[in-house]
Amino acid sequence: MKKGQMEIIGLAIVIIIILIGLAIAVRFMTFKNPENTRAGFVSAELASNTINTFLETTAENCLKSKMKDLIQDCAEGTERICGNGQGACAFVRSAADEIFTKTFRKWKTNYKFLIYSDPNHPFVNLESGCAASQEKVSDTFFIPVTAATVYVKLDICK
Amino acid sequence: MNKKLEKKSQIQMFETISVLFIFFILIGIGAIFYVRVYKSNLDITKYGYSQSKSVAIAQRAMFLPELQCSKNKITTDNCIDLLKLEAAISVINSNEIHYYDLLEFGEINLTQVYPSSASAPKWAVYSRKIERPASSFLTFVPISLYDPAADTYGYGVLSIETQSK
Repeated sequence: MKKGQMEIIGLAIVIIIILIGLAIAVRFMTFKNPENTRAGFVSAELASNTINTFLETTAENCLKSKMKDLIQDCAEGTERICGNGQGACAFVRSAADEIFTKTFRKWKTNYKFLIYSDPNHPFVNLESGCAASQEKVSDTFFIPVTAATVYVKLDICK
Repeated sequence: MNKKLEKKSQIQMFETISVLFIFFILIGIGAIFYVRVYKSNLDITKYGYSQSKSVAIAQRAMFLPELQCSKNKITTDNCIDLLKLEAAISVINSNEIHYYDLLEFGEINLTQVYPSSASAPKWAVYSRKIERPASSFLTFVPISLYDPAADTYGYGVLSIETQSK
């Protein structure tokens, strides 16, 4: 092969490499992953609506008390006994567990549900595979009781 | 002499044709690449639009005045009146076009989660589905179910499926 031909082949190879590089660069610059704008709204709405709805729910066989009334009783230690013989704290815990089993667990959504005045001693602590390092959407509702505030917190893990 | 010239011009012609051929191949490759990038960006935009539309429809469904609880003309958010619901389902079914304008393609169902009963009550609120949607989103919204007869609130889940062509 003559020297001139070799040079031309070399040049062609360089041009091909530059073209491939450009194609890859353009591909990475323009092919963006679609943003999931809906997921943020859905998680935030889900956390807020879940707590709100739960607190307003009428406890079954418990003198038409709402869950928030039972939480107040639980925090104040008055322990209203419901129809099935459970105290307020146990009743709220079992109702929350029943609801979350039929919703979050069914949807394969990990969550952490806490009701507490003192974070170290929660009245209710329900959890399903929510790692501390996981990104989560949280919402907290406050229920005033005598001389304290009860926090109802739900973390939804992404 | 003439034959030599003919051969030389043939070679030049061949060169020109080769150059043009490679040039058009390069233009073709560029055009294919550009169209692919453009189509991909268009798909991303379309997907984002479908997501926004899905959120808007979900919110519209959550706040339908036909279903919302109200007392003394004051509406309660995040609550469905079960008596209104029974009436609303027949109104929705008999005014399909009006509700299509509001809710478009998709399906809305309501399920009672608590208090639990042997047969979990389920209501089909709206249904207008397409067979092969380009995108489909399912949103679950926990919502209170108010029973005015018993004056109790249950825990329900509104499942809103939105589809786009």
